[in-house]
Amino acid sequence: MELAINLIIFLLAGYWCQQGLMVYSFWNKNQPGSGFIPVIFSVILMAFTLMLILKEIRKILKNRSHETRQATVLSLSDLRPLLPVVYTLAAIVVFRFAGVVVSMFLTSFVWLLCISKVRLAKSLIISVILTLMVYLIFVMWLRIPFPRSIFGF
Amino acid sequence: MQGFSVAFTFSNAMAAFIGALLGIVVGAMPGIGAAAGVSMLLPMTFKMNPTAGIIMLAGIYYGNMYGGAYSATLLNIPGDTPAVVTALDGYQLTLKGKAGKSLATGNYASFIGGSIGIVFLTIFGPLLAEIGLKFGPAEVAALIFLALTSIGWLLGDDPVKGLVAACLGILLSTIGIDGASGNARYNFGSLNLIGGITFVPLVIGMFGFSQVLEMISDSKEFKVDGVKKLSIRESMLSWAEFKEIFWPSVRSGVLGNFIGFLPGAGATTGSFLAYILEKRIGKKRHTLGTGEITGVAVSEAANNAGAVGSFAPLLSLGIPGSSTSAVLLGGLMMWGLRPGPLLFESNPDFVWGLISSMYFGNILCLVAGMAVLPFLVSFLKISKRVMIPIIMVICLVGSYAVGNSIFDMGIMVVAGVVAFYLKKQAFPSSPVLLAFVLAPRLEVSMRQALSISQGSLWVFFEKPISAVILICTFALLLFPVIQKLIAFSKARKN
Repeated sequence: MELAINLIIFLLAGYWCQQGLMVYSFWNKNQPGSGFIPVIFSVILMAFTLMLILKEIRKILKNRSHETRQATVLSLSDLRPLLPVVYTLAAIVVFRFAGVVVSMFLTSFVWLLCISKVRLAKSLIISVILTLMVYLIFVMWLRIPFPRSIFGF
Repeated sequence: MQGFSVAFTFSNAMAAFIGALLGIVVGAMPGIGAAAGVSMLLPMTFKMNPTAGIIMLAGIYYGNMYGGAYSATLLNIPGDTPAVVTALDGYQLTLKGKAGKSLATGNYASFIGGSIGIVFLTIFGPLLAEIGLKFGPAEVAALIFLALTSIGWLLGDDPVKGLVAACLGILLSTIGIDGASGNARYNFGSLNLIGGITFVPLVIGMFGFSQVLEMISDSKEFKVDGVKKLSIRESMLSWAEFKEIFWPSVRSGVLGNFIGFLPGAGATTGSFLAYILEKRIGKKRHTLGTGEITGVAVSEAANNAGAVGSFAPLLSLGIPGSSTSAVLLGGLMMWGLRPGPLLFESNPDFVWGLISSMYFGNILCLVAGMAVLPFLVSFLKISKRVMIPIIMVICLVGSYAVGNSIFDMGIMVVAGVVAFYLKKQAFPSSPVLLAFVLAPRLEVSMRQALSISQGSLWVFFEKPISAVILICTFALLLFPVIQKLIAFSKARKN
């Protein structure tokens, strides 16, 4: 996992550096160009991540057999937090089409009832209070123009 | 005095009161932390005037320092990282049946530390601003460079990972229009990214939504052991106990405040150092860690003083001392205020109003901190299962509210996922945020300095201030390398 993260950062820094040099110009008429800061810091970032990558590779080579077993276990547990990510993305879609009140009520209620396994009555009370707070603070007080549902809220 | 008249207007006093109360509540919730609390509540201040808004956010910050001790004492889970040290003695006191005494000690010490911090801020804030006025672009660039290096260095266990995080923050800040040339950079052809990554969704994602992911990955529930009920009367300290904690609290407050002045060090480093100092010179040094009220006092005094101390570089130089003050800096910029040496001259009402509100807010925190004691046990019983959807909804609504954009909600989710996986691999997320906030100023100052000098790098070494700052920066950068070389040569000898 750490190796993958470092590799992604390294590649990202490489892209920043390439764009800074080739597209945005590093130095222009005795003055720094738009790519000046991105290039400097992407080079520093590449150097640091390269250090971390080499360290990680050395570690993996040292305990090769042990690491392979551990990596399989890690990859399964690492995927668990993706549940709220998928759930939140779905909530954003509902928010776009059903409006803030309906979507926020559903987001909290469905999670409490189905994932947190909270009793129906308690889930309902918490969701209603939370939605009411959101409505009062963000819609009534702050007057944020949220998307609205067919019901007009 | 002018500041007090600003602070005591009804709206500002209410903002301080609500901020302090919310700060205590958020701080008491295990694992949320000040940065997450301030960032999630930042959208609530959009419609307030800047002074009231920042007074409320500052109240949340120092209120959080009070609240952090509660879960550290009762659950052995610090509400925020500065309260880690509080848990050492606080939880031992709970096991001995003295939870109330520990919490009251935390409140008194927080008040003492906070008061020291505020007095020092009142005295040294304007002095620091005067020094800041002498800074040209080269000095400003050098100072920000030092801040970025020390931030990466001080936060997290591995300096290299801290520096990687800081560099990531800088690269993220380059997305959007380049202030000097007006060209769009690194926006991947997206119109939504032309203005850059919006600060509030980024911060809510990094500190709020990532918390949801952390709670999911660690399914262990919090449990309040051994305490059924707390009463204010039983929690009050005797005169002898108060005398026992007073001087250590003052000592730690001064130390914590000094540490808070340093960019990146913040309240956590202050509380650790204060505890170490007490272990060396304190009267109870041999029994510290076994459940001593002095242990709780030194940690709490130092972290409150540190939190207030971090306002000095923020207001005077525009350099945040911690991730929470970086969120506050983002808030200030959102309201069109530019923290720095000129802020004391251009917006005296705002600066002195904020500082004066802290005197008032600190007293409020002490009173509220004692008043919530009887309700604390039942409050801390709120399950993680209930907290997760609540935080999720606040994150979603808050990230939309800043720019009325669904794209910002997406930024929040992505930032949360990235911060979570980085944190899992021990990359601290605070340097990302601090660098993201500081980098635009670094770029402007650096390019101004180089334009003045016609591209000569000598401009950074011509003036003694920038030269000294840069030497310190390089020393900090080289230190991990030298440390490794020494360790390597020692290993070879053995």
